[in-house]
Amino acid sequence: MTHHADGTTARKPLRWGRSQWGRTHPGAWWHAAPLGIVLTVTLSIAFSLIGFDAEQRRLALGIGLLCFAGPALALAWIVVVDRSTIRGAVDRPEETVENIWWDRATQRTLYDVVVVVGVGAAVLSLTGWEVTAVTALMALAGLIAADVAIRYVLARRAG
Amino acid sequence: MQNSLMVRRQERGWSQQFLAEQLGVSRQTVISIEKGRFDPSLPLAFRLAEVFGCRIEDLFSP
Repeated sequence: MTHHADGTTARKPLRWGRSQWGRTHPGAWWHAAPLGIVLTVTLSIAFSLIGFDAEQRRLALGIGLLCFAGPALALAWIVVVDRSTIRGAVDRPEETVENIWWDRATQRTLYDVVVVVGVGAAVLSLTGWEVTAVTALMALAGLIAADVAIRYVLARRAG
Repeated sequence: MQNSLMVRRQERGWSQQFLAEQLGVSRQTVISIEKGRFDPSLPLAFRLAEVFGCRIEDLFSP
């Protein structure tokens, strides 16, 4: 941390940024990790208590911990971090070409999803196949994630 | 849209990274503008003009 003559302090940027909480603004993970762990455990316990009997509860808890850890830690980091303290972060991300690529990718993904959902609904209704809502939603979520990634790469290549 | 960004930047001996930091955007953004692949927003165009000490129309031409 650098102290200036005018009394302000410039916080040295870190790879993962600094926390926006506390006076000393430590590395973001000092606050994000405990918060993420608490969130992971809470969600995993709730997951294991809902819809699982006593015999399966431990297994459900373990699966919950594995599945929730990544998203919960990432969410905690997003909440905690002061983005201006991330090393290499730009001041105006909304004006970058990367932001244009992202907008283009998400916009085109929306069109793709409309087509896929429409065609999928037509195929299912004509063939009489039955797919559970959970399966359909998971497939849709996977499709959206993959489509955005592919569309972003294509937008980047196009410039 | 054509622009004279690369010429003006090189005249001053600035790197793309330096210019990007002055503008508050990524280096890739500067690269894309110089290649004419990306038209900057109006606020960014104003900052470019300010950094180079000229008018927007001196930097960009349709």
